[in-house]
Amino acid sequence: MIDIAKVSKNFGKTAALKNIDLKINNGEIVGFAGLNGAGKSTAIRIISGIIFPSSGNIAINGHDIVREKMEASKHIGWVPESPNFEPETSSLSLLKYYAGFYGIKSKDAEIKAEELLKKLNIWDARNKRLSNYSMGMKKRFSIVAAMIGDPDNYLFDETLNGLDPQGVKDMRDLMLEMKKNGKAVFLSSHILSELQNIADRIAIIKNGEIIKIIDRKDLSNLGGTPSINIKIKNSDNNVINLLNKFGETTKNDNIYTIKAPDLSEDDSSKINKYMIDNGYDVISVSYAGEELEEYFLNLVRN
Amino acid sequence: MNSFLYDLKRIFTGSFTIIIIVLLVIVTMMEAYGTVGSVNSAVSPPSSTSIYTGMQSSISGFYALLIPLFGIFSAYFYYGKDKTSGILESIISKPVTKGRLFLSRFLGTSLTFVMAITLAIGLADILIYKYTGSFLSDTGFLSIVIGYSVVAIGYSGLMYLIAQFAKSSDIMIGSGLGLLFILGFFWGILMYLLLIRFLEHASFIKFQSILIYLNSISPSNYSTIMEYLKEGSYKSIINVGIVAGIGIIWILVPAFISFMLARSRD
Repeated sequence: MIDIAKVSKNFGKTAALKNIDLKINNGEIVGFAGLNGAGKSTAIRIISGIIFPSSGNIAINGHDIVREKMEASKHIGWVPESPNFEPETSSLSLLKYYAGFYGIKSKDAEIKAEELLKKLNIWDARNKRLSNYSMGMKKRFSIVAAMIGDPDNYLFDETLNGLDPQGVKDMRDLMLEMKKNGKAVFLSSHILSELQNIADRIAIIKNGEIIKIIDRKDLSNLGGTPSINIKIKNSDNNVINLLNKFGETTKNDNIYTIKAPDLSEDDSSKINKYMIDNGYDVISVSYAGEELEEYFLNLVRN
Repeated sequence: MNSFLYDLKRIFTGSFTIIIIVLLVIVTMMEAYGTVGSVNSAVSPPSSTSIYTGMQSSISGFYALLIPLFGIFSAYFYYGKDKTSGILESIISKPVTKGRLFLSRFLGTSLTFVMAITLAIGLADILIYKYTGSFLSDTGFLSIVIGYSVVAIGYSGLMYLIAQFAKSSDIMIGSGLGLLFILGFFWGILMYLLLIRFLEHASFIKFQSILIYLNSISPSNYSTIMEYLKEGSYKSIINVGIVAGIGIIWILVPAFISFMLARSRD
């Protein structure tokens, strides 16, 4: 469990965070949304113990991240936005080094590293230098590095950025698995549709303050124009024409968003069937009341 | 194994550490041949004092550049580079504090210098013995090892201090080399000119005392001060207490200030 109590952070005269209060419970995924510079990464770096708060407390499983850093850090894994590792080291040797901080013996660390590298599909690159890893591989490795000590809490800072659709799906599955295993997951992302798909709650931050926490059950009742997101594997130029039949359709990467005032949850299965009948492989379909993005933008712009 | 020892082990087995040791041994052995040549022409077997003098004169020129560079670059490779590039953050997020990480890296690099210099001088001593039949005396050996170890640790401590403020690798390396330029190459001349300007009519003893104290502000001059102590020069100014005090200051003060900053700053 991560308990953030009245945390503020100042950089000189600039207040980056103002009295943040948030609790991430075991078995819960909390999304963290905000515009660039809102304070998402600063908050995550403070929770991970990399930088100090100016005031307030952060307890990780009851251990204060500043006063009991060693104990608190055993229970938290940080996945940074831009993974930065020693470039000339192989993933396997770096994982053994990290495992040493948790008191894991070298032999046990090797077994654990093998299990995780295989799980994240980078086992074949275990002896490669990290400088030769692609960004996607580095992100996967940073997740392995966060998991090496098997912590109860995870911080994902814009981890979905720059991943291919398969990578995003893998991340989503992994976070849901973590949740199922009782882990607390705190995920900041610009991809609001993904937060909408997996988060139990979404905290919205603006100018260093949490201005709204939306519960999952309220996500479909935000008001405004209902929408359906559909992800298609073999998409082409004709997809938008087909989907326009159901409402105004826009495309972002492989995700199509259909918006219409009379859309209902039942339309999801109709659209799914319609696209399959037209020869498309549908990866996922999800319904949202008002698109979170619209709600979010209204909130942070006001 | 706890994280502190693990980090220490990692520095000892790091490629830069191995390069330091190998380079220092090769250079010192080459210089030792020069020593053999210079003492062979004297009385046979030569005294340990003449071995010491020969060894010091052979290595001092090269060590004056090499040892500070080792101090500067190992602090850069094992701490500064990781700090400025953000690599250190991926480690700090693990169960380790900034202070412990600093200590393990600083102690690791410091022990590396002591080991490398001991090994290099030890092997050179054996080589000289093979050709001349004389070893360095214990005090001569210790004087060289301690003198140059303090030089390396002093520069390394200053680099750890710079790393607390430097925002990029370029700034860090540039500052380190700038420091070497001033403290290593020009400090003695600058202090001498300063004293001539302000203490023109001082007695020789007073002038010399102040000059030695001012020179001790640069870590580069510690090996020379150690040499004065070993040879018994400037006995009225230099004694074991003063030399030990200067050495301890160079080992501890920059490191302590850096440590306090490292554990309290973001």
